[in-house]
Amino acid sequence: MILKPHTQDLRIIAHFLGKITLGFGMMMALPIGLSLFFGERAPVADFSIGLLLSMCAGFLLIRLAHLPQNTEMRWMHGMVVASSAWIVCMFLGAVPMYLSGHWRSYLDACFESMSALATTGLVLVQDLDHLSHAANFWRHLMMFLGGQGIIVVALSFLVKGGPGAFRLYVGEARDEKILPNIVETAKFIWIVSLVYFVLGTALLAFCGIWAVGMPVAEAFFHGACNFMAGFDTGGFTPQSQNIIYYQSMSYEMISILIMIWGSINFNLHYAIWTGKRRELWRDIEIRTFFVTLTVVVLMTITGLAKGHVYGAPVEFMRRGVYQVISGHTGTGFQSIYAQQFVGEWGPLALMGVILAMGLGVSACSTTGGIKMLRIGLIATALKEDVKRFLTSESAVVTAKFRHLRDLFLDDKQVRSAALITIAYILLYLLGTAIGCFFGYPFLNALFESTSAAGNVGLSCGITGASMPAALKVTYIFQMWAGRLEFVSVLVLGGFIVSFVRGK
Amino acid sequence: MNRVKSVVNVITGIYFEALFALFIIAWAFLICLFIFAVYP
Repeated sequence: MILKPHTQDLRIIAHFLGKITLGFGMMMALPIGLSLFFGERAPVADFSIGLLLSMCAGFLLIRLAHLPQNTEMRWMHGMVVASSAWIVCMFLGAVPMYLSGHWRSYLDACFESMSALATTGLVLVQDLDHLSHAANFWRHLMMFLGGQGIIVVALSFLVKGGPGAFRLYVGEARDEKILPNIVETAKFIWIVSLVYFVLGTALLAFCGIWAVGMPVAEAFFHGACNFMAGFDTGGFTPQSQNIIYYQSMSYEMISILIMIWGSINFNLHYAIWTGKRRELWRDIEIRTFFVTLTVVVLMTITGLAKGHVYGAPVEFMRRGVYQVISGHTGTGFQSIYAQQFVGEWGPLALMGVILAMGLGVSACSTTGGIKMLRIGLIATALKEDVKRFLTSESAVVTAKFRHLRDLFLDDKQVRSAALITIAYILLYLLGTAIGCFFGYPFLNALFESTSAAGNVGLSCGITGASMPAALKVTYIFQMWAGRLEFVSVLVLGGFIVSFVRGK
Repeated sequence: MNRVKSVVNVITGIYFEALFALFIIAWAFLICLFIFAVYP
């Protein structure tokens, strides 16, 4: 028998959802300030409406919940709040974008909003080159917030620590604590991001001024936007031509640095920043990343070389390797046009990029996809099994791996890694099947579906305002489920079923 | 003193992470050179 949730459950969920909505709404003050700085009037109204709407929704939820202090939050509440907060923020974040008139429908604005929050980078915006600075900045800011995690933002500023905070944090697919206190963990994630924000923005801005020849204010605006999209492995850029716009190898190389920094586990950042630098070479995630990167670069570059697509190693680097690293880290910056993937690249190179996109890099980072920790664990388990067959039958074979400390491999870890890996593969295939249903070729549909579910954002041309609405909804679901890594999404599904059918 | 030590650690940490990213770029470029030598 399924038990119907109590009113108290709904009140707890509404209370925390209200707080997150308030926090998210307050962020809209930043684009309002920017539009005043650049003298843009219309965005002030758009974002004020969005801010007011978010504030009203947040206060209403908190008021309706009327929760007594020190109420205990259970795992179910944390998971439901985490997964539903992303949907609520998607709807609210889309409001000022839709009001700007640059999106054909509210669904398109919601698609872009989820793409930003989930750090995917697929775009449906119309005439991006003439979008206001405020709306453009908002797209990138949402990407930055989503990359850190909406819950991490709330934990840093609005929610008190405690077991409930940890349950919220885990619901957002971050099950590794960096510091014993979860609020301190959230604050450390912000410190890393802000330190790199200053460094990365300065690097890109100076490169923009010296190598690209941009005016100072524009160079810093582009630098800040591209940093947020690169470090949070999102892939938006402030203009329609993506990274091709800059026509600068140094700008591309700096963006690779930023993408790699963003794909490192925050725990590893902590270890390196506290003097344990050897951890970088010993960690299972980095070692696995090195192996998979070598494989996908080999595949892609061989495909490009055999097809005589580019004529020099530097071109392989700027086009081929750039796309592979952009895909592997889940960023989605494009140094070639979308149509070139299917028009020029050929199936082997395309398969290399699809594989890179599906894999992702580190857990507890801003990247999407299956993640290197899971691939590393499955590979270690396979190695252990083979070793067991090769040694004497009475021998006890154990496998160890290094992830911030020495750990013994156990069946529970392998099972969990295998289950999530299978779930990702099924999600990739679901979008592919729906893409094929709408008449797109298999490889194109697989490419776009993997890009959406792996929160990458590379596109081979399917994503556009004219694609079927059902496919847009499918990709929104894929981006959401892929970012939250399924568990909290499934718990929300179970919660809705128990609410409807429970007794 | 501890604060100075942690700031130094952060700076060397960032430097180390930058070296790591540069190493990845250099490794990928080596692969490009190798493939270009095989399929000129």
